[in-house]
Formats: sequence, structure tokens, C-alpha cells
Amino acid sequence: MGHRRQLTARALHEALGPLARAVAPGDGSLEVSLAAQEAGRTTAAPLLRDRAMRAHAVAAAADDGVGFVAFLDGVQESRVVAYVGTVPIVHGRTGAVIRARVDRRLVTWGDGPRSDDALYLPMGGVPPAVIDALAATACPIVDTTDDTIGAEEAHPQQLLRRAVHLVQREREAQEQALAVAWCRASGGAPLYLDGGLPPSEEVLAGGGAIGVIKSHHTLYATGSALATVMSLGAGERSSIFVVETRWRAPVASWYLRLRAPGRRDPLWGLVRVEASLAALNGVLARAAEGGSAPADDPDLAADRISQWVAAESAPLSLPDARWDTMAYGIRDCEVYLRAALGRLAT
Amino acid sequence: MSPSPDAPPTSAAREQPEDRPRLLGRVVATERRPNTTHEFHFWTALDSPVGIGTIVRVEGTHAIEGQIPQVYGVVTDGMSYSDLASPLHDVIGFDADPARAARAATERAEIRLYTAAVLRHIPDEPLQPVAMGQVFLADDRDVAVALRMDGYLREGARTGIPVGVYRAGGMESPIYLDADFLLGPEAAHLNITGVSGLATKTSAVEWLLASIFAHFPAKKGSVAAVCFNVKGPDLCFLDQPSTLEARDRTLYEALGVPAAPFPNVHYFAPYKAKGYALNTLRSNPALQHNVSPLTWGLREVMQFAEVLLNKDDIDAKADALIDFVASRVVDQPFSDPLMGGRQFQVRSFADLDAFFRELIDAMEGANREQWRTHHVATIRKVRNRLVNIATRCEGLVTNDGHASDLPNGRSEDRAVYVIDVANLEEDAQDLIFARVVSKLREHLERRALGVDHLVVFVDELNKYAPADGPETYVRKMLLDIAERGRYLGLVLFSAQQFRSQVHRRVVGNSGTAIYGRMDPDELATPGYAVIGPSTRTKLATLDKGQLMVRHPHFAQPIFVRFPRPAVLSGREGAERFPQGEEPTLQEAVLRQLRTLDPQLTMASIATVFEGLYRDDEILRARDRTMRERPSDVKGHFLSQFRSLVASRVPAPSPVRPLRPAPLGDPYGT
Repeated sequence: MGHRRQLTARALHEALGPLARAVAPGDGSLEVSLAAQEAGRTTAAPLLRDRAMRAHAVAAAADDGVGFVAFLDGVQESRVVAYVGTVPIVHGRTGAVIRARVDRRLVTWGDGPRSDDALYLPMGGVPPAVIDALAATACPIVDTTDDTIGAEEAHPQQLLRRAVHLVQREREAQEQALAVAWCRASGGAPLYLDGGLPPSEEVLAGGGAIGVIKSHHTLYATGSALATVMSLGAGERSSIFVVETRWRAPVASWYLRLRAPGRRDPLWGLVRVEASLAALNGVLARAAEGGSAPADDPDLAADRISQWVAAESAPLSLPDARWDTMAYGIRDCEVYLRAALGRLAT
Repeated sequence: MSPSPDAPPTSAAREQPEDRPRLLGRVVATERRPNTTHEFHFWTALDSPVGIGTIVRVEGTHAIEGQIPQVYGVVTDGMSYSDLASPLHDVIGFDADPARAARAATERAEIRLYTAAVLRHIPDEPLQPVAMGQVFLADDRDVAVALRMDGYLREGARTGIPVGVYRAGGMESPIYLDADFLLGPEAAHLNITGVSGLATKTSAVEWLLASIFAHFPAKKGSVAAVCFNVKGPDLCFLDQPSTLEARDRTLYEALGVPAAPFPNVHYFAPYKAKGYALNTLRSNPALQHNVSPLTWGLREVMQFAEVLLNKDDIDAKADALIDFVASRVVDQPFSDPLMGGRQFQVRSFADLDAFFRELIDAMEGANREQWRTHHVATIRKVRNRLVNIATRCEGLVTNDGHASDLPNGRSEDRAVYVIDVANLEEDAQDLIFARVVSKLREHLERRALGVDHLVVFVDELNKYAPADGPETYVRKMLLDIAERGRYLGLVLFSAQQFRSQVHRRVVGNSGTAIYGRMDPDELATPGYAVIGPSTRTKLATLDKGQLMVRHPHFAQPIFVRFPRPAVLSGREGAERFPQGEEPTLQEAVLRQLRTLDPQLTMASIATVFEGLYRDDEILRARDRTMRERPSDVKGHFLSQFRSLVASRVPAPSPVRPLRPAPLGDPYGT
């Protein structure tokens, strides 16, 4: 956790003086006020074992089903603090933490949370005097210049989205750094990651990190496969499929229904689990050592991991609106970060 | 599940060196729940040894005039809660199955939040709200400072009287009362409240008296105690050792009090109605060496006749006659023309009865309704009431006028005088209480009691000084002691089950108050409103040997533990020393005379009991012997019968002379 003092509105105002028009802090962060840019989409993903997408009942665990040792999550908050002409200056704050479970209670792991804050603006779009003035605040400056957006024709919201995107990148970098540290220190102990697995080869090879994605902007099934996914019953998972992206090595993934939606949206209570192939192998290896599974059946590993994820569905993470899919350990990370870092949104 | 063994330690691992103060928590405050100069809030780890009554120290964060402020407080309330928004969420989360909840992988985040009342600020000025500092468990030194004991435990003062130990976090800190505020002159008196049967009231007083006797500084003078045993055998075995457990002995050692019974105890009890056996539960023959009779004659009782006469009895006319009798008739020669100039010597109730009888006869004979302005009806009424005292207080009031009393003027340092009134009627109890305390007060006023400070212990105070009801002599006297006794060295230690039923000025003047296990109904009365709900709950569930103490130096009540008294409890004593059988007159007289001469045998005084003398004559001889304590006990006792023996030798019946036989009687020869 950094020891640099956080930027205050007063310090910024004093630094900028007449160079910029200060903006009174609003009630909501940009993460809340900017409408989601990304529209939902579906894409077909290759299945790992099954020939067609189908539902697998996740057997009840013989033990308590608890596998995760720790939880990792990060938070971010972006706010417009000033305008130089039509160019917004965004103050972004990020933080990430691992909360480890000790005697059924969650405590901060390692050296504590990671956090940072910075000013985000297209440096080429503002006078040098502004950059000099901001430098006097000792707050790092991140250049949000996007070559695809001309400075003259840029809509302010485009600049804001760009800033928020870079804040998100910073938060993801902190999460990845913590995941890497965990993998190095824990010897592959299962870590519950909020969101998809990071692109770090070390994390993917370590096999301890399991990503659990609550939102479904991208659904990795189409047609009847998608219908199968959306009709999964409580305690069922989908076939394992492979998620391939440009920025990360392929990982195994499957959908898991944590809670029966009843009359709610079909995506309610549905999470997508990501595990590296190393993770599947690690789980299988441990199961084989215990004599409970053949060493070459990834479905058994997916079942086991699904049991772990399902075991985290209690206690409920209410009153968070995402309680249907949010593990209590992840909510604990967010509560911790808000308390430790001040008012931060997700 | 625990983290992998290879995982680095969590930041929650809290290692603290042994020699450093134990960090407990951290002060917190919000706008809705701010800290003030007299109260603050702090949170702790879930496993912190903090509870209601724990004393803590807050270390300030910013130096004030070069000094980091220290605030001492005592925990008065505590609460815990989790991040659960609604209990229903927990039910839903575990499908209404408590067993699932018990198996949950993760416990919810939970807080232990405590509220503490400020005991002391260092420095005292400027008085500021408590800072958001770290909270430490108070160690011995902190406890002394927090309770301002440092002022009277320092060299040169040393007026500390141990009342028990304060326990927290594995530590035991001795708690001291200030003798100047317990036995005067600054403040005085002690009041104990607690339910019966949980070794609170009597045990606490026995322990505290032992502590006072051990620690009362010599430079403050001598101290003794007079205890009224008002129920059962509670105080009947103060000189007999109990069996103490090791933990009690440890407490005695830690507090510097000998774990031994009182070495100097004297018991007093009136006689039973027959007049030759003492009316006490300490009647076992093995324990008679320090039991003395408590008897009073007419003179002693007349001074306190008011105690036994209610308002209906004492109108102005009756009061005037009683005053006349007390000042002009009793204990002095008195004659009156109406009664033929006969000289009366009224020294006993029997004399008084005879005097009244003759007076009334004379008035009737002279057909007069007034005598010295007193109407015959008033005279009859006063006679009835006064003579009746001897009946109501039979055993206490003697008919022969002789008194056997406490050794006022010869009271001994560190001695306990127990007056057993447990088996007496209420009137007699009141009379004893009123006269004993009044005499003690008189002697203390003259500095002639024999000791400088005297503790008077009275149990069942709600009976003697009730909050409501008629104004009685005893209550007035207790009020007087409570309000003025400390200037004389007369200190009231009182106890009752229901403090709310005791006169407010009596308990209000008790500088020190002790509370044992309390009745919840009693705690619901307005007098306990100043005590927080958590503290009240603790009071209702206190263990044996636990007390809550209020003392002028303590800004807040403190919970302490005290050791079991080193004397036999009433129940144990009654089992080990069962009551002796009701003795015969011979046995009773011999038993008492043997306290003067242990070699005395029944055979040596047996002649007295062969039917030649009345019981009251024998008892009078016994009383005189006991009073005069001669070196030759047997000789002195028997000498009181010699003249009677001589005068009562039956004269030979006159022999009737034989009538001479008539002449010519054929049988006369």
C-alpha cells in the first residue's frame, strides 16, 4: 500500500488555479454514471470433452466442499475533478486485496492491499502549463491520448470512457500482481478470483487461481447450446468449453448455476468459472492421490471446482445487489477495500 | 480451512512482547456515536479478554502541552454485530438449516464494540474528548492510577484497605479502599446490597473487617467492631477457622491479610425467658469461654423506654409521667404523703410494679383521680406499658436491677464484639440496638470507648431504617450515625437485600457501597438507573465472591473478587458446633461460673440446688459472682447462701405435751 498522500480537491484547485475549471464532486463515480458501452454478445466456444453442450449435475461433495483458501478482488473509482476547455481531468483510484480464510474468518493476506491513484487526461490536448501545475500535486499523471480519437472532434464522454478504461487497466494490473504473488507464495493453493483469469502465464501455470465471472456481457454459447446454459438448474454446470482470446492463453470454462432463478432472469444465479488447464490438472492430481478420481477426467475436476464455488454461496452477500452470484469472500474484499482506502466504488 | 503452510503470514497475526502493555483495540467514534470527555467507544479483536468491568487505558495520539494524554476507562457496555442487513438474509442463506450455517466456509465479518466510562484523564486539564488512540489492557499501575489509588498508596499516606482483586486478561490487581473515606474522617460508612444465600453480605463484611484489622494504619489509632447478629448463626463463629481453598489463600497472601479467624471475639446474648441459659445459637459447651450475658435493669431500660413505646402509648401526659418516674423515682429514695410517707427504693421492674400498685391503691383508697397532676388513667396506662417491658423483653431485662453490658470504656483494639439478637423479639432487638449504639456514641463523644474507631455492623437494614413507614427511634438513630458518625469515629457497616427499601439518607451517606448478586426486580427500581443495562445484567449474575464496589475515589463502579472468609460460616459452624441441649439450672450456673474458675465442680456447689433456695435467688448469686469476678469463685458464690442456710434451718416442731390420762381410764397405765 503506497504511502503517498492522496490528492485532495483543495490541492488540485490550488495547483491549477485559473488554468482549469474545477468540478464539484458529484454523488456518483464515472463507473456508475457512464452507461455501459459494451453491448452483450454471444460467441460459440469449442467444447473440451462433450460433443454438445449439456448439463452436468454437480454431485454433492463428500466433504464440506470447501476448497478456496483466499479471495482476490479489486475496486476502482473515477471522478471528473476539472475541465481544461472541453478536456476532462479524471482522478482515478484503484485498490486490490487478497483476503485469506483463517479459522473461517477472513483476514488480509500478505503485506495488505495494493492501491494507487492518478490523474487521467490526454496530455496532448491541454497546455503544458496544466501538466506542470498537475505535476506539482505529486499525483501521477496517466496520458489517455488515443490516436484513434482526434482531439478536436472528441466527445468529452469518449475521453471519460478512455480514462475509465485506463483506470480499469490499472486495477486489473494490481489484481494480477497480487495473483502472481499468491501463486508464488502459496504453492498452488486455490484462490477465488473475482472475474476472469488474468493473462499472466505465471498465474495460469500456477494452477491455484480460479476465476468466477458474475456478469455475462459475452456468452460463450449460441443457439441450442445457449438454451442449455440458460436452462441449467441449481447445482448444475455446463459442459467445459475453451475460451480463447488474443491477450491470454486459452483457459477452460463452464457455466455453473448457483441458485434457481425461478421467475427471475435466466442469468440470475449463473456464474462462469474459469480455470487454467494447469488448475484442472492440479485438482485431478490431488483427487487421484486421494484415490477418488481417475487422473485424466477434466469433468471430475470441473465438478470439484464447482463444488468449491457453490460452497461459497453462503453466507449471502446481501445487501449487495449482486448477491445471487457474489461470494461472501468477494464482498468482504470490497468492504475491506472501501474501509481501508476510503470511499471507493466497485 | 487454513491457508497453505507455505503462504506468508497474514497481517492479522498479532504477536506482542510479554513486557509491553497488552494492546486490546482502538478507539472509534462516529457523528452519531461520538466520544465525549466521559465516555468513549472502542473495538477489539474477537478473542480479546474484554468484558463489562474491564479497565482499559487509551493512549492519546497528539501531545497536549508536551504530554501524550492518557485516558483510563472501565467498560460499561458492549455490543456485537455483523454485516448482516437483515436476520432473514442469514436464514435464506442457509436454507433455514442451522446445521448448514455451522458448516459454512466463512463466518461473517463481526465486530466487538465496547463503550467505556472514563475513570480518569491524565493530565486532568485541559479536559478533552477521548482521542482515537490505541486501547490497552490496564496493568497494575494503570489500575492504581485509574482509580486514584496512587494518592493513598504512596509512601507517607498508606491508608489503603484491600477490598479484593480486579481480574482481567490473566492479571490480578489489588483494589484498595481509602481508610480515610471508609472509616472517616473524610467520608465513612459502608453499605452492602445483595440477595441472600450467595455469600455476599456477611462474607464481605467478615472479609473486610479482617482486611481493616490487618491494614488500618497504626497512626490512625485503634479500631474495633460491634456486630449485631440478627439472623441465624451468621456471625456466631467468627473465632473459628474455616477450610480455605488454595486460590483463597493466594488471594489472602496477595492482599496481605492473614488467612485466620479473628483472634479477639466476644459474644453477648440475653438470657432465655427462664433466665439461666443464654439465648444464642452459640450454645455449644466448647464455645462458652467468650460468651457473656447481656442484661439490663430498670435504670438502663428507662433511658430507652421510648424505643418500646409507640406513638399511641406516649402522649404528652404519659410522657410527662414517664419522665417524672425516670427522674424522681427510679434509683433514688422516694416517698409521698399519699402513700403514708413510706420510702420506696425503685431499682427493678418488680420494685416499679410494687410502687405503682401501692400508688393506685392509695389513690383509690383516698378516692382521688389525680396524683401530682397525673390522672389515674394515665398512671394505669404507664404502669401497664412499663411493667410490660419486662415481659416483652424477658431474658434481657432483669428484675433485680443489675446489668451485664458491653465493656464500653474497655473496648480492645482489633476486637470484635458480637451481640446475638437473632432469637429475640423485635422489641427486644430494637431496645438492644438503640441502647448499645447510643452508649457507644456517648463513649466515643467523650473519647472514652477504649478505641478510636468503631465499626457497627447491622444486617437487614431495611428493617431498622426502612425507606417508608413510621419514624422510629432506631431509624432516627441510624440516620444520626450515617450523617454525623464519621466525626466521632462511629462507622456504620450496613447490609440489606433491597437497597431501594432503605432510607435514602442512610444509604446516601455511605461513602462506600458494595453490591453482590442482585435481584433483577430490585435492579429495575429507579435507584439503579445510573447503572448501565449491561452492568445491571452483570450484577444480576455475579458469582459468589464477586462484588461491585463504589468508593469516593472511584469515578465508576469496579468489579472485584474477594476471598472466602477465613472464619466458619454460620451453616458450617452450626454443623460443627451443634447447639448444646437446654441446660438445667445447675448446669447453666456451673457452666457460667466455670468461665471464671474452670476447676469448679458440680459437687462443690451442689448443696445450693437441693431445694432450699428459689431459682431467682440462685441466679442472683450467680449474676453477682459473674459481675464481681472474685478470685475465690466457689466461696463467693456459696457465701451468698450462708445466711439463708442458717436462717432457714427448720426449727424442731414443738412437741405437744402428752395430755394426762383421765382418772379412772382403764387404758391409762
